[in-house]
Amino acid sequence: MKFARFVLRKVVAGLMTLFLAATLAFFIAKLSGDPTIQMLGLSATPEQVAELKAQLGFDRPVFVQYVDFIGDVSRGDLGTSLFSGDKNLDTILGRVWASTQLAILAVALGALIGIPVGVFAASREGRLADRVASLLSIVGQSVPVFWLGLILVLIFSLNLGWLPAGFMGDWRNLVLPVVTLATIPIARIARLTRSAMTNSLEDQYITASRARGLSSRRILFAHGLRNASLPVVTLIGLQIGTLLSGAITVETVFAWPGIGSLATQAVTNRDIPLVQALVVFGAVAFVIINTCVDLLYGVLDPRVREMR
Amino acid sequence: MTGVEHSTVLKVDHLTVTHMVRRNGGRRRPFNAVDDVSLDVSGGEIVGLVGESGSGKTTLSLAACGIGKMSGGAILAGGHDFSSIKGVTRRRAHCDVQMVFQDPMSSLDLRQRVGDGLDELRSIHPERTKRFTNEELMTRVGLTGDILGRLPSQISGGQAQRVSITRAMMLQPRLLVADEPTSGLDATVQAQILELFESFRRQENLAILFVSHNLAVVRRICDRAYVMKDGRIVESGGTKDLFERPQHDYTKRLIAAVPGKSANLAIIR
Amino acid sequence: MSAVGVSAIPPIRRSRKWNIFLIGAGVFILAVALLAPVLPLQDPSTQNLERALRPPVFSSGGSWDNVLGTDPLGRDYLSRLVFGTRLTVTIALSAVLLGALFGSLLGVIAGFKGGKVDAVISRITEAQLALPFILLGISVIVARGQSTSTLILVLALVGWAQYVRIIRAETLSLKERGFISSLRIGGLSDMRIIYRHVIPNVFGTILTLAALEIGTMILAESALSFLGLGVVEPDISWGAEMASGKDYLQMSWWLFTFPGIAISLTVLYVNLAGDALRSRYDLRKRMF
Repeated sequence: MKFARFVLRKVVAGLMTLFLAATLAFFIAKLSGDPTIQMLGLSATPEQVAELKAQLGFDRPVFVQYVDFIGDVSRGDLGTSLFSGDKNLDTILGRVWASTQLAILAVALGALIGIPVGVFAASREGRLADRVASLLSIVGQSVPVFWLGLILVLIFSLNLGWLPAGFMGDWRNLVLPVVTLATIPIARIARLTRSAMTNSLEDQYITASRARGLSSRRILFAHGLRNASLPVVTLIGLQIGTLLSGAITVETVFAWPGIGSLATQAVTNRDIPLVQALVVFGAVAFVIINTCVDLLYGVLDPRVREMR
Repeated sequence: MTGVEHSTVLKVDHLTVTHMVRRNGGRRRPFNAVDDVSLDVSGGEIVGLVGESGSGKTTLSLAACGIGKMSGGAILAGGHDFSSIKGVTRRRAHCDVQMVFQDPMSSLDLRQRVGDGLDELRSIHPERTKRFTNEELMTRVGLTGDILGRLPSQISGGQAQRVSITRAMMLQPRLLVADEPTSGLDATVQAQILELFESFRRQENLAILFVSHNLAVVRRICDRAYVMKDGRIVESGGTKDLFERPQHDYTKRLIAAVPGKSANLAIIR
Repeated sequence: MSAVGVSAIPPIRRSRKWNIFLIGAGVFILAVALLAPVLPLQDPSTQNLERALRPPVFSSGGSWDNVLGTDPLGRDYLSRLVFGTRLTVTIALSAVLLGALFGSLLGVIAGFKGGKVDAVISRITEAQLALPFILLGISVIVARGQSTSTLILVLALVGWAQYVRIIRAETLSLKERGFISSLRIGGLSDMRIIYRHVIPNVFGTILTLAALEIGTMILAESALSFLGLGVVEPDISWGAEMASGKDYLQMSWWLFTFPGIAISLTVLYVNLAGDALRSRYDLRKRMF
């Protein structure tokens, strides 16, 4: 029963955050300015502007627009694209899988490389290998991801011809975008693993020396890994969420047909409803993933269930 | 002490402090940290408030000083009802009721030099703090003037506690609430701090509410004492009587738990 | 949305030589940004179509006239890059300043006042953090139109929420120490306590966070400029250079490569400096 209550609390909290986020997104966009002029260009006549406004429903009082917006979103209606006339939600859902592919693979690669690197760095704490790993990790978070992507294309596609640059084909098309996108997860996961390990190892050494029954290094390590796994797993979950919306530039650069490049298209077309739909969708995805991560945390660490 | 006025400086009248607590993931339930407590302290008295941690004594102290929550009852401290005054009036009223905390280091701003802290209080209460200069304040508590230029990290625990006492006393309060003021200090320093309290009582007719779990100290310095358990007063009386002829079970157990008081064990039986 | 907190990071180096190097590098970057107009460089806006698309001096066909080559309009690339520093630094610093100010203030108020105020601020912050940042930025820029000030506003908007959580936690732990109660009893008003005692004590944390955020801002700005939403001609930004450079990737690779290197090095520097600050204020105790 306790767990059910915990789940309920988390889900309700998630819904509330979502509601607030949608409200925030709406008002930030509204307060930013009048997009109709942007969309039509400076040479637009007042009649054209008025017509566009009416079409978008922007001539109504703000509060009415807001209520409609919230109502639509709760029913799953994310509006209609100004450019293509299709329902936004359908367009987005049609491209979600492509982005999800990249995100999951990138995070998986991040964990695959990051965790061993982090563990290794922790085992060599303070020594050269540790410092190099930490430095590389910082470098990995300093490089603009889209730039790295194109550089990789330059080297591996255009110059060496090993891998294709474009999208959709077979698995080889996935390599470059995934590797590019994985850079930051690798760096972050490696760092977090390293510090989680060193922290828990510290505790282990203290208790072990007190107990005086010397466990072998191996056993200590295993314990350390187990304690460290919780925050690392949580981070991995979070990364998926941030990647899903943060892959815009990478998708654009590789012309990957996901929601990232959809966003760029929307920008080029000044397709306001679509942009707003993407913002809401991004928030929904983020909240869902976060809630799942919180629930997972609650499963793995029972203490969390007691807390607020 | 004939001829000296002994008016009531602190009057706590059926005070209740309720917190909403969530236990074991269940619903939030109200919990009385302080449950219908009444006590009083007069000028020139040192009154003890004895109890273990969790008994509600700190909650009571904070309420008495006007910065803690109150859910029921009334408190008149230094002539003020803090629950009904606000703003500047309230801030001035605080001068009459001051507090000394358990951990002196954590009640000082570690980034502020001692002298600057005193000057800050002066700037807020210029009238009340006119009486002594900073150097004189230091002498009064047995510290030297060079402490003024130091940061809290550069002075010892005992010195820091004296600084805290200075900060409280320079505002010329009528009531001083001391919450475990000597815990964590070594025996000689403890004795010095207690001496200070005694001298303030004599010189200023200061009323002191001395909150502690340390029975030996309470016995030594307090005229009267209240015993508190789970938010309620279970017994009270003159210290001598309290310790030699405890009535309530809890009081007896507390006394029995004091190491070295084997003579008292005979009473429990 | 509690989940995991910020990751703790071990200091890379703590030696004195390293600190001197960091300070020196910082001064260098600022100097380049400030002194760009008076340096012996060519005018970054002068077009010279005869000299278009010259490679850098170490490639075949390059010359010392244009050390890093020229762009499609014949403008000297080295000077364009150097001038690009100005806007990059200005935008990042302004955005961080704005975001840090706003976010830290909210964090302090939330931590200090507690109760309903805290609940409201925390909820709004969480909601803000749920919004995908580039998309949010896009929606604002598309509505407002492109300009440098819009860009700064957007970056600040995206960044302020980070401060609230951490500064709020700092403030709460300050409160726990008890000296705030003792200041209240001393008759200090809330405003005074916040201004004179809380803020100076959390300032180190704010500074460290802000330093690390500068890197994030630079990357975000370059991403937005790359998408065509950043600075407008004739202003020069490294991100925008990359946007135009990417069409020439195969033949005139330097157009795309050098701005990226510039960004990477700058952000790397900022991250290392932020790291040094972090180890100085020893935040490791609090973050996991």
